[in-house]
Amino acid sequence: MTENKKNDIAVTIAGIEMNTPLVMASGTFGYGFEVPRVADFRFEDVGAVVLKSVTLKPRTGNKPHRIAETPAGVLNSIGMQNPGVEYVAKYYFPMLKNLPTKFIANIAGESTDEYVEVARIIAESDAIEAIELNISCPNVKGGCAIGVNPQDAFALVSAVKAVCGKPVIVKLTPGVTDIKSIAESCIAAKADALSVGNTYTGMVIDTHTRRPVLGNNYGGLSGPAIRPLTVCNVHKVRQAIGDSAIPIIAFGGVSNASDAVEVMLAGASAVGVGTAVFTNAHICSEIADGLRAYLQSQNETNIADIVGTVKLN
Amino acid sequence: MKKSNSNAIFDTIATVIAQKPSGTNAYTLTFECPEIAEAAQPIQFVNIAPVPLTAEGSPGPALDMLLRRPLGFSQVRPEQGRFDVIYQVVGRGTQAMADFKPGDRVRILGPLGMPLTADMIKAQTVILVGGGLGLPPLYDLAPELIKAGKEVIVIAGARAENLLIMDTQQCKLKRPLPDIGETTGFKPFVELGADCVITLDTPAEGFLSGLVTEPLNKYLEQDFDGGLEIIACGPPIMMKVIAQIARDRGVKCRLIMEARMGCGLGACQACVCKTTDGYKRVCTEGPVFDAEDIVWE
Repeated sequence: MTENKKNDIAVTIAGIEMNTPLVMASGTFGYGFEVPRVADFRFEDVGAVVLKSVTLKPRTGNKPHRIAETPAGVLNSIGMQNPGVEYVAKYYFPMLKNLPTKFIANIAGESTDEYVEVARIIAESDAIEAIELNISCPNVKGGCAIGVNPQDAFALVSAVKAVCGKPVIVKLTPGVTDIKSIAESCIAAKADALSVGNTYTGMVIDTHTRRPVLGNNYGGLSGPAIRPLTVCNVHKVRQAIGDSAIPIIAFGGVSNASDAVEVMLAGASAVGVGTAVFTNAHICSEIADGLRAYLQSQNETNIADIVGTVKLN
Repeated sequence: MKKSNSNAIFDTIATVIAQKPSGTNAYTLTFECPEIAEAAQPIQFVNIAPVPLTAEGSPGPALDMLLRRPLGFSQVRPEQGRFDVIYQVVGRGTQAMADFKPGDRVRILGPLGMPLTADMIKAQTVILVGGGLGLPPLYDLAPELIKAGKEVIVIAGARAENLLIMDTQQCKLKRPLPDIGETTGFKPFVELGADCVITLDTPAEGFLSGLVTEPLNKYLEQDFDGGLEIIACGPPIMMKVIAQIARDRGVKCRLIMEARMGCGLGACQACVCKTTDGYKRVCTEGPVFDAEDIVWE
């Protein structure tokens, strides 16, 4: 039982008690230790950090350029560069112990067996609270296939749940026609939470050279440009699965407290913050302060009480 | 965290002190930001938001241009709590920066990257080769080298006389080139006591003409008893050619690499360059790389 405090922005998602509803999005916060090298970084304002995707084997990543700026957005194609799960578990996870936030590992793979093996290794670490299954990364071949098909999503989530005692969060791809049926498959497979939103596949072409700017040609679009899509997807999924179903963590385009409130009103219990950290490493502290101020201005005591309270026209 | 920690990185708000033309085609921006000025070391850089904060302190229209622009320090004055960067207007970000006015408050991340200090360089003579906007970081390094008693030769390349990024001054070469005892150099380097030559793609009176490799090759014919190192910063094609020359001559060569950057802190893995040991992040493992380690694509 948690006591209701005034302007309380603490939330509990899939059994994970978080200081704030703010969750650093996978890929924008490295393995948890890079951004906090910035002086006066406040982990206390970060509810949880989703670590960069890990795969079974090391991946070299895509050729540069890997990033391009777009209007109110960023297009990236990193290609899941990572040193492999063994290395990450051995050298990076120990650095995360005793920090005043929670860490969630994000895993990706090219087959169910790969996901399961990575999940099994990560489940052994006590630095990690939960696993987020990346079934929606647009930057690797095959990475998207599982997220677009309800049957595959069910099989994958079930298989990972079978080997992982920690909560399993499924990151749904927004690039599907029927996000509702995939969400329902994940719930049927006993997923503990849904991450709704990811980047959207995009392309930027240099008109002088007539070549795509990104080395991988296509990339994932993030930033404020996609925020209305996130709000809508969160609302659609929340309506589809019902208020009492598993919690939703919204990902895509949140840059300030007003944005965070918006996705919570649409039905998210926690709020991803990603690209915005590139603009300000202390962005979570600013958003957390803004959420407390919002509760005060609305005469609310607990941030969880505003979830899904949008009044439709 | 202690502010005196030399490894400290700050994500903070700097104040624009001045914006002045530099050379014929660039600007020098002076920021006041004591914590970054005190922590900065040579060859490090800052990531600068291209749009100032609003009066209320919110990013305002900066949300349209999310990525901060990496710029090398051209000069750091820790005693004043200030530093300078030099930039050219090349895209919408630098176009927006051209509107910075004294008093504007700008979010800046830094100092970033691994420093290159004089004690890391064994050679007695250092040839600094800068192409275009590659020059300012070399100006950040040059005083350190001179203070350490090293001979500094600067070879600067530019496309044309109207595209110079620093003010010029006559330079009487201490180490003359064949037929050239005096030429036009960049004032900041000449004032430090370095030899400086400028070579232009489009010939102009008082300047050398051609590629930076021409004076470089001529210098490399000379004797450097205390050892020689080349440090280059500029367009990739220039650095690739210089790396090859250095390799052929058996001269140690370091390159200051540039890449499109995201977070600046090593988290997003966007700003990579290819090395013999895989992709390395310019922001944290660079910006200085041994020329031998770079794989050119």
